[in-house]
Order: sequence, then structure tokens, then C-alpha cells
Amino acid sequence: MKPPPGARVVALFGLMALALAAVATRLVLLQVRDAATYEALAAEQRVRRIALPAERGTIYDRSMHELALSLPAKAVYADPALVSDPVGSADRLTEVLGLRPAELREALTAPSRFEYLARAVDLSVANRVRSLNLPGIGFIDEPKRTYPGDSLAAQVLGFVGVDGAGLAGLELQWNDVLAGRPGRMLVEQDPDGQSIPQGRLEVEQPRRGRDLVLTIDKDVQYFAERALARAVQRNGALGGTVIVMEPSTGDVLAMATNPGFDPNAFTEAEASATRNRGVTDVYEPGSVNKVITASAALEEGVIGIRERLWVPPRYQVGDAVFGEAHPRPTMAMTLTDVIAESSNVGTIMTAERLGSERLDAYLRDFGFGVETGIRFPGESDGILMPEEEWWTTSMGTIPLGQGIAVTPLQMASVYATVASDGVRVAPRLVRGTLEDGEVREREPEVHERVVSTRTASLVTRMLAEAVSSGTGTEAQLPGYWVAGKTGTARKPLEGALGYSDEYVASFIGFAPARDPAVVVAAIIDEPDTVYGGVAAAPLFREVMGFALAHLRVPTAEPPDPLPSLVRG
Amino acid sequence: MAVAARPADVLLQPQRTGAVVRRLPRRRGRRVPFAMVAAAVVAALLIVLAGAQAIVSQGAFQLSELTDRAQRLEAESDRLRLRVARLSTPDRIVAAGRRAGLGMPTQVETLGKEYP
Repeated sequence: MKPPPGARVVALFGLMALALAAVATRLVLLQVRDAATYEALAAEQRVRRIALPAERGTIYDRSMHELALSLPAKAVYADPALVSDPVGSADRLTEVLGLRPAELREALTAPSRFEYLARAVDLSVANRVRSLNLPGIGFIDEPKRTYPGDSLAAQVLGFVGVDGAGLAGLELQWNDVLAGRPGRMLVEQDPDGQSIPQGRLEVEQPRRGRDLVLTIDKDVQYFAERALARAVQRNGALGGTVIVMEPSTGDVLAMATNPGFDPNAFTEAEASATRNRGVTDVYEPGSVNKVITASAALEEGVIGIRERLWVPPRYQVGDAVFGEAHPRPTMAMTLTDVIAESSNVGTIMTAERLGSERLDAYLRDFGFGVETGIRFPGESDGILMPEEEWWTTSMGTIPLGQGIAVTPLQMASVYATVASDGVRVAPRLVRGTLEDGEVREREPEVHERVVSTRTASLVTRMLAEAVSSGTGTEAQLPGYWVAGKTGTARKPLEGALGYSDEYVASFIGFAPARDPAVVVAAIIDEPDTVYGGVAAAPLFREVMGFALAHLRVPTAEPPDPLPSLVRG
Repeated sequence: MAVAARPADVLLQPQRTGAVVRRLPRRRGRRVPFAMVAAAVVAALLIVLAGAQAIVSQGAFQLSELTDRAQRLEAESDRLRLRVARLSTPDRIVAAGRRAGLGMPTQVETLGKEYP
């Protein structure tokens, strides 16, 4: 039986009503309940977030010469899905980018939507790539860090990675200041990557990093590096370190390490060559350390400046017998003679009067066993055992600078302390940041008296005697009176199981002796001629001579001579 | 004297109270000027809009050109900045000095006060 026509119409309307209700429900679900989700999905497809890299701050030397700067550059990338002819594109890109065709072909056919082809390429190169009009090739702004001086002060400056973050040296230590804050841009784009007119556009501008002004003088740094390289070659050495400091401020004018490297191509450098050894590596200083023993003895009054010591050729401490570098009979010596002639036995006898406790205290007061305050990445605090753990022979080794380990900067800082009337100033590599064209100076963090002015003056005169007529005559400079000390230290074997037959030769001193303006530490690792007075003193003289002339330091009156029983 | 009736309005005799005015349909011919004025206004607006658009576009082109020029100059400035930095490196200056026949002095004499 057929339903009446009215019932069919009602049924049809009912069905239509149900269908409309279903559509309406779905509409509500889509437009009301899930609206936010779909809006976000749509935005995800249309809105592109573009990072706007911040320009990294410039690093200047003390005379505002650029040592490291960032220039605009581009990263070239490929979207392999859009590359129509990988082989042809690779061949054309090879000529411009200077990359191997196989390498490019591999990137252009990779199963991804993004492949870097080249990072931080110059704008001229990027423009040449752009002019090829290759499909699927794009560009990203990416500043390039450049070191115009190539290897100049490389270990001090460090380097940055391809992402622009500091990886070593001052670039790492001051990364937060130099890096600035990257910006970002939100832009609505169509599937072809074209901006949608009237679409969303939000720009947060990047904030440029701040500029850094160093204490380094690029001319002194350059000369120190060249002189060091010549000295290393002349002495058949493994390498070396030179530090040039201003004693009154702690400003490091030069910090040279050999071998060096080019931070523009740091990936090709030996890892060991990238270390700033003046700060990160320790060595047993040898006789240059005698200056602490002498300073402590004078400060504590355990020996007089005119007092006569009968110094035998050999001397027993614990179960070890210590002698002199050059055999001699028993002699009468003053403390000045002990320092000027670098007498091991005389130094040990002086240290014994002082006692281990006070010697340990002075070593620490002069900055051993702690970081210098320069806060350089990877700085070592050296090795100085607690006094209660010293060996029975330690009073024979430590006063002579063996059995302890220090960084070249710690040792240079000791001489800077003597040169600045007994006040220790923390060394610094960074003068400050550049704010509105003015240098915002950083004050030294440590500024403390270690010995009295009188003691510092007496030790300076002893060191001047060491150069004028003692072991350091090779450090004499025409026209200037130099104060300094030689050091010849045996290198310990791996694991501290005794000493090898290799030496570290050093000479550390300052000039002019009466009014010190510059401290120079010259250290040569494993020279053929082991003596500091032969291997390192000429290097010291060369660098000191240049620094004094460059800084226009006037000559000063010679220091008053001290009593001597050995030298005329 | 009889008063001539106004063409648009006809005064009817009141039926009960007061007078009723009936609005007669306007003649078609009177609408033409209004349409022409409207069209002219629209046309004028379109011309002004097009002109403004042209000025904006021209400004955009100029802005784009200036932006490009600024970028080129900035790039040139950066290139020159790097060149200056490279030219002032001690390495290059020493090399240039050597080429010019200069060298470090072999003997240095320091002038100063004579001390005993």
C-alpha cells in the first residue's frame, strides 16, 4: 500500500531537516568548537616566522682598530622538492660557490625540503647565485664574522660558529654582550612564498650586540707574535708564550701564543693551537719564582739586605740534595747575589728561614693556586698543594719554582705586582664596552697590597742587578734599566712521576726599573738551548724594546745599587 | 481670478476635515540630471582614487628604489669597512713598508737624560 502524498512530503521535509541539522551541527563544530584549532592550522600554513639575526658587536683593540667584525652575508639553501634539474643546477652552482659538483648534487636530491648549500657567503656571491634564477634555491640572512688581522691575537679573540655563537676566547666569554638579541618577523605568505597583501606582518627588530674594546695593542701584539715565532724557530722549540702587561693597570697589551692559527678558518686548525696557553696551560716556572721567596723573606724580615749568607755548592733538604746550575765553591752571598746569580742553594736557605707556612701564604698572596681575575674561558688556577700536604723535599723545590705549576699570566702578574710597588692588580683583557661612542671602562677586580713599597723597591733593585751583571745580561736594553729574572725549569713527566730532560726557558721582567711601565714575560717551550738567559732573554729584550719605543716610554734614572759580595 | 493649479500638487477639496495634498509621480525627465551628477561624482572619485593609487604606487616604487639603494650603500660601506680593517693590519703595513725598502732599525739609540 502506497503512503499518502502528504506523508511523503512530510517525510521528505523531515529528511531535509535532519540533513540540514547535521550540516548545522557540523558547522557549529567547525566554526565554534574547533575554530581555534583550524585557525591555528591555517596560520601554520600561511604564517612564516623568519628569524632576523642580530649583528654581532665589533671587537676593537685599545686604539679602536677593528680586530673582529660582522658583515652581512647569506646562507644559500635548496628545497630539493622544487629543484627541477639537480644535475644542471649543481653544475651551475659549482662555478659560483666553489663546491664539488657531487656534494651539490647530493644536497639537491636529498629527500628533504631544506638543505644548506653554503653558509655565510659574501653578498656578491649570493647575488651571483640569485642571478642564475635556479628554481628551489633560496637565501637566508646570516652575518659573517671576520677577523681582518687573520692570525693576529687569534687565541685571545677566539672564534664563533656558523650559527654566530662564540665558541672560544673572548668571543665565548663575552658572547652575551656581543651577540645582541635576534629579532623575528611574522609574515603571511601564499604557497609560492609570496607575501599576502594586507596579510599579517609583525616585525620585532633585532638588537645589535654591543662593541668590546680590548686592552690589546695590535702593534705590540703583532710584534710579540712575530718575535715569538722567530725565537721558537731560532731555538728549535715546540712553541712559546709572550705576555706584555701594564703593571699599574693590569692591562694586557699583548698575549701571544705560538703556534698560532687563523680564526677565519678555525676548523682547519689544530685544536692545541687554538688554546690561549698564557692562561689555560700551566708550567713549572723555575727560577723566575725566586722573586717570591726573596720578597717574602724581606717582607717578613728574616734576612737583611746586607746580610752575608755562606752558601755551599750543595744542600740537602729531606732526602734530596740540591745544587747549582753551574758548579762553584762555597761562597758568601747577599740576598741580592742570590737573586742576581740565581743561586738555588741560597734561595733554599732563605726559604728555610721563612718556613713553609709563610712561604705558602706569600705564594697564594701573589696569586698562585687561584684564577687571576681575567675570567678568560678555560683559565687554569695552577697547581699549588696545601702546605700541610707538602713533601719533605718541597722546601727544596717550591722556592726554586719546581713542584708547583702556574700559568704564564700568573707569573707575569707576580712581576707586575713587584713593579707596581707591591700592589697586585688583576690583569684584564677588556677595557670595557662601547656605549654611544664612549668606552665604558671596567675597573680591575683585584687591587690588593701583597708586599710593602720598600720590599717591592728592594726586590726591583735585585732584579735590576740580575740584568745588569747577573744571569740576565742578555735582557739589557740600550738606554733603559731593566729589572728581570731568568728561569730554567725542567718539565715534569706525565703523571708527576719525576722530571724529563726537557726544559721550559723563561725570562720575566719590567722596565724602566725605577718607574716600571711595561712587564714582559717570555716563555719558550723545550728550546735547544735550555737556559732562560740564553733562549728567552733575547726574546724579552726584543719585545720590551719595541713596547717601550711604541708606547713612548721615557728613560728613567737607574736604580740605586744594592750591596753585593760577588759582583764588584 | 482663478489660480492656476501647480503641476505637481493638486489641492483637493477636503472630504471631512483639513486639506490633503497628494504627491503626483515626478516626470522621468527630471531624474536624468541627478544620475549624471551621481555618475560624474563617482567618476571624479574614481579618478581621484586612481590618481592617489598612482601616487602611492610611485611612492612605493621610490621607496623600493631607495631601500635597494640604501642596502647597496650599506653593503658598500661594510665592504669598505672591511677593506680599511684589512689595510690597517700590521701584517699589511709591514709588508708594504718592506716593499718600499723600509725595515726595522739594526741599531737603536735612546736619547734621554745622562745618568751617572
